[in-house]
Amino acid sequence: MKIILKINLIIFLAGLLLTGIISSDAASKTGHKEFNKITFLYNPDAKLLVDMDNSELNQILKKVKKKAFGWSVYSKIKNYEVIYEAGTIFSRSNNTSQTIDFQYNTSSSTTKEIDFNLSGTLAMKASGKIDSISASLDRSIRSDIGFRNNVTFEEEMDFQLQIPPRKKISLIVKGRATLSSGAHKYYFLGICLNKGYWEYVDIINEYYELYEEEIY
Amino acid sequence: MSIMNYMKKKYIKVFLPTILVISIVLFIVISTVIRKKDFFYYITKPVEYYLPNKNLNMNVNIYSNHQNDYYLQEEAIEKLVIKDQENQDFYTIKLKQIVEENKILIHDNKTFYQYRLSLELPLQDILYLQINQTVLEIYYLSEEVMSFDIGTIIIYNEYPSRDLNISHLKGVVNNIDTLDVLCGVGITLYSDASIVVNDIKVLNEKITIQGSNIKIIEDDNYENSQAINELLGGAYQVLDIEDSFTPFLIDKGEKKHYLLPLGYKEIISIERLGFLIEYTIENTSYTQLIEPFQFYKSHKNNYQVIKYEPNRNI
Repeated sequence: MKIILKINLIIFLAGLLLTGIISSDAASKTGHKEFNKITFLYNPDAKLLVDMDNSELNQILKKVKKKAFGWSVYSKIKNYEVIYEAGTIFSRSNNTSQTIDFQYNTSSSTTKEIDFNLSGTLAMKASGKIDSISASLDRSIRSDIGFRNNVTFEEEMDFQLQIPPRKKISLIVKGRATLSSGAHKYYFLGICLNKGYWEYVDIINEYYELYEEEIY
Repeated sequence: MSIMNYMKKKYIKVFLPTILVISIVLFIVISTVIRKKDFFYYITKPVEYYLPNKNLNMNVNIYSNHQNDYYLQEEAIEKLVIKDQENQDFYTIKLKQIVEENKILIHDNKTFYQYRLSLELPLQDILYLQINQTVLEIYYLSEEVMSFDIGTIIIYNEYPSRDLNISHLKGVVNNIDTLDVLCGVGITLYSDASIVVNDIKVLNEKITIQGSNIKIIEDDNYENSQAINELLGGAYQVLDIEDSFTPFLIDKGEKKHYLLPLGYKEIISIERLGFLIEYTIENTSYTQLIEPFQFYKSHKNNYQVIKYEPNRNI
């Protein structure tokens, strides 16, 4: 019985480890789970937080001004325009010898309007919904980089298409967004109690592209 | 005793009027607050509804600042009408269902709850109908009426021909007058037969294909936001609605990427478009439908907010 429990525990831990590795890989490309690729449109020298080395990150952190109470925020990048690739919505193969009809319908939007990434001790708290502490940080950052209209509509997107024999059809999403990033510190009586980095991606629009590929 | 009398007179002269005035002010304030609560706010987002003529069902989303909204209950509604604001044509439509979805949106720090209205248009034998500036009018048993801008309804025919295959479909979206405008469509076509494409029509009367400017593009890996005049290698006029079309040949098995520049009657942001391709194979004519496709989605939302004060107590 103990052996079975041990085996289960090992499988469980291995599963956790594997999940962690996979999720960190997906996020490590851009630092945002939503985006596979982010390219700066007019500022080729600009960098994402994940692409900065420790000395560059420390430089940003040093620029955060000291204050007596509350959040202090420094913006290294403010609303730089970027192009993103958000991934593939669907990919459907036809391995038969006949053309097949394919109907696609979704009522949810494919990407969130705003994606953000907070590091430091706050990152743990920001992984779900914004709690009260990160909400106050969000307000501080927003007052620096600008507020966004957060009205998001649920829209139906449906279409049907034919997939010829031995072909695969995929729908991918790209788009334009603005990116802002920087560092933050939280002070109480002039003592820094919390510090870290933040990066916001505000989506401007989404482009959809349909691709057909041969199946070999 | 005289002091008691004095106090009594003072009470009647000063305190009673004061209490009366305070009560009146309180009543006004409370009734104003209650009346404010009676305001109903509604949000709709005008969009394009593409309906194949064999299935004229559509879902319209209305967002209300009330849960269990009286005005969005089937029992309260007498009839629904859709009206074309351009020519005042109107059609009474069938309400199939109203569902209060478990979805919200936040506008102006207010929570709005989503209601999905499932509607059916009782129209038959229509090859093409476009209802521009569609207004959904809801008539209530209480004799009230509410109107919502819902966008454009386009009813189209589903042609069975399938000789043309699409291997790549994308949009070119440029920013014009602060609007995201679909200026062109990139499409890679091929066929198992030799085909002459005689015309390509847009499933929207407000838009044409600038047929004489169609260009074959060698590398289809261009950015969706690239300036269309750069891709065309010449000037592009968004308000040019010339629809002359020079037929072109697609040889059997040949695969080419065509850039179709779009011309508009007025500058508008259309995110979904479908097409009809008219072609001939060995002198026989066919029409093939390219299903309406969502080329892009703009987050610069254009939506309508309605404030409604009921003329009855709910």
